[in-house]
Amino acid sequence: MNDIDFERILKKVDKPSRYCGGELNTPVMKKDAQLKYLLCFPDVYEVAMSNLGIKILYGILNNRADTVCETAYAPWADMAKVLKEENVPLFSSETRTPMHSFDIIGFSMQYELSYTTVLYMLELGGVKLLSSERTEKDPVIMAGGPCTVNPLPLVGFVDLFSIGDGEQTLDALAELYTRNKREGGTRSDFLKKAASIDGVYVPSVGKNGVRRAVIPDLDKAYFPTAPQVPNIEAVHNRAVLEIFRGCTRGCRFCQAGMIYRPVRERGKETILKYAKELIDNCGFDEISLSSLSTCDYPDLRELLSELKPLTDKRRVTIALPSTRVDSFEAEFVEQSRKGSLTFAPEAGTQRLRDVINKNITEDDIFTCMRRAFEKGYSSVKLYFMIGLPTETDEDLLGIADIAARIKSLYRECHTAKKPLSVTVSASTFVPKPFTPFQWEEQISAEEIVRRQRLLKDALREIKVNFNYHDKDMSMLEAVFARGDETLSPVIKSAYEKGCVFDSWGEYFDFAKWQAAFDECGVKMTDFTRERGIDEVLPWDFVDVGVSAQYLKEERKKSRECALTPDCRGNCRKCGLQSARKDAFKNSCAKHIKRDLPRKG
Amino acid sequence: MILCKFTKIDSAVYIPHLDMLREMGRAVRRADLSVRFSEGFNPHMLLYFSQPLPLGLPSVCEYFCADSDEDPEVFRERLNVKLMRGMRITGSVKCEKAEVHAITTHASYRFKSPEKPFDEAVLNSIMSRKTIEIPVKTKKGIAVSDVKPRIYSLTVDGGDAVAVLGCGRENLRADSLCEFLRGECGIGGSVRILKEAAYVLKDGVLKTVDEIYGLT
Repeated sequence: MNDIDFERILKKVDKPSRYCGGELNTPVMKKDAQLKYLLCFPDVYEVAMSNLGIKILYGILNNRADTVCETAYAPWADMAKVLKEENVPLFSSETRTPMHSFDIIGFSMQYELSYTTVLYMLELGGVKLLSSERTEKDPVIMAGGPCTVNPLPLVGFVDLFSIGDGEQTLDALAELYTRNKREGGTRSDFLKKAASIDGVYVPSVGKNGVRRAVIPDLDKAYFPTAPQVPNIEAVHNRAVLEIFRGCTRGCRFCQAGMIYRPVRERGKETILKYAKELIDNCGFDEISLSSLSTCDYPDLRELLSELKPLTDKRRVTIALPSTRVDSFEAEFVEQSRKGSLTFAPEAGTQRLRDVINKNITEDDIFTCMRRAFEKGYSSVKLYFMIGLPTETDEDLLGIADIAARIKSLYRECHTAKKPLSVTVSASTFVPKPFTPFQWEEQISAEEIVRRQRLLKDALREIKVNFNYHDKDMSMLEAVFARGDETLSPVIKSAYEKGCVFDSWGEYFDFAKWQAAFDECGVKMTDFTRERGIDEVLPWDFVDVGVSAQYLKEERKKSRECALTPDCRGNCRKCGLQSARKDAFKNSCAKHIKRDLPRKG
Repeated sequence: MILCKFTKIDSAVYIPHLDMLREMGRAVRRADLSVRFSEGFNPHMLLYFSQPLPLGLPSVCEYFCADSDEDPEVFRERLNVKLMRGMRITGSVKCEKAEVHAITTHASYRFKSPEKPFDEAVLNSIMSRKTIEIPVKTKKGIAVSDVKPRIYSLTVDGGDAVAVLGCGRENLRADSLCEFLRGECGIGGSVRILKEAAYVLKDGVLKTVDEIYGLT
């Protein structure tokens, strides 16, 4: 596309900076690459640009001498309309190359409700939607990211799945693709050979031997310290530095806590080096030390004391996601700003917190709150889940009880001059594959509404703000999270009826989804129901490393309200110790017998 | 205080004003240059920018002041290494006050038509009218307004139209005038606009911002 056409298109849309390219730190695009890879994110620019995973993969691919990697994100409706009117296919940001001209198109699947947006992008890019219709001349469609641990709902559209850590898998796939091309191999040759790479599932080849890829040593893995800086403010407008991958807490509802095992850390010196490079290369005023539970980083205290002088000098603030406010570390970073405090007890009573293995007591909660109020906090956000296994009305009213007690605690010990603001947010429990709760039912839509109403009324009485998730969206999440191949036609039908950007409230249209399910003769309740403990589950063919036996034991323990302590002190034999020996040796084995971090 | 003159061209023309401010702040941090911060709850880097440029309009005459004791030449060189494509510091000089945004009264724009040159006679006839009524964007939508008082001059240079228009309180958007000129001159194709210079009108004399601050 020439500059004049491009300018004409950009003049017709809101936020042209989403599409104009030219982001800082964009590498020079090789013209003679043997593999042209298009990395896609099925959501808008501002969301895509906040994702660390695609920045890692973008760097790995562009560092290869034989590969060029470009990006494309979901164009907002105004841009899609212009592209259709002008008969211009969706193009890459870097060189405005049409999507259909790439060799491999990879999608990062972070959320179940972005599935129709994949079809939207493929269609706009001039690529056939169905894998079965693609020929030797068509691009290979790939998908990776957390949703693909259960790849089945997308098998109708995706030729190749990358399951687990993408760093080594994508490099191996690029190597294979270029070699296959040099040797005169075809697209189907590539797909057949790709199926033998660790972490790869090729539906046309079969389900045998599909294992989640696990990089054994995060410290030696590639990390992008000069990622693209977005042209406009992204959802997370900060530098992100992943300090470790995985979590040892073992919350029974948490899929990330299971599918990113074992915990693999970056060394303190590596993190310090990367932090400096990120500041030098990006210039953000905030750096986030990212992980699933940042305060569990073993050398956090030392890391922060060495990082702080650098960040202070460069006027950069440190963000610690998932901070426990009673910890030294929280005080350390929260010296000046007294913003809002976020806390996730997840359940309203100790009994239910024990069921889900959330190792937090009420004492912990109120000690944290007291300290926060004494430090000057006046705003608290609390996150809970509705519909957890064994939940009763008493557990729900326990949420309101916690909120009421926080309010009276504030009256007792606040130092801020403002009135307290308490917000309770409750999502609906979505049972996820490869968790101890993978067999659980999701409560019905009517029951979700009843429980939301019960809690809403209780919280209204004590004047606490209440946010809750849309019941229909939560139900669809549950259906797709534990879905199978029969859902591909449903996704296609829903897309054809106009479903796209389903995670955006203004676009979500449940009636169209219902019509799509009806048309395909598929019942949502078949996927939200409780599964038998010995039932063969659709995703059983994927070996994520955590054993089914461990998950079953954990489920049994949940019914006994028995806790499983953090596995840093003592290995709980989740299966990784034998399924991923290298990674286990490099990570978990080092922590056994090490002192546990402070509980909070 | 350092006054910097910079360009906003190529893909950077699509960066909205607030994001451009953020980008300049990030570039200062990347270059590890010393700039003072405000005090208070949310300290911010003390950079003072000239009036916002409409989205999509390229310019070679944007300005900002940085509250910094660095050497202006060093400031310019180090910042240029770290700026995104399309933004480039073309001049820097010490100044007393951050007032460039307040004193700028006019800006000149070049209208380039690849299809056919602008007709000088048509432009002269436009300027000889008592009023020049064109549709302009207002807070309440599009309204027809007499913009003649906001056009300082309208000439032809090598086939391009060059207009010196009011900015700030008496602002006239170059794209609004461009549409009008296309119609008057019978130009069907696209016209490219470039903001070329910023001026200060004082005591009836128009001087460029560069002349006032000694920017070379």
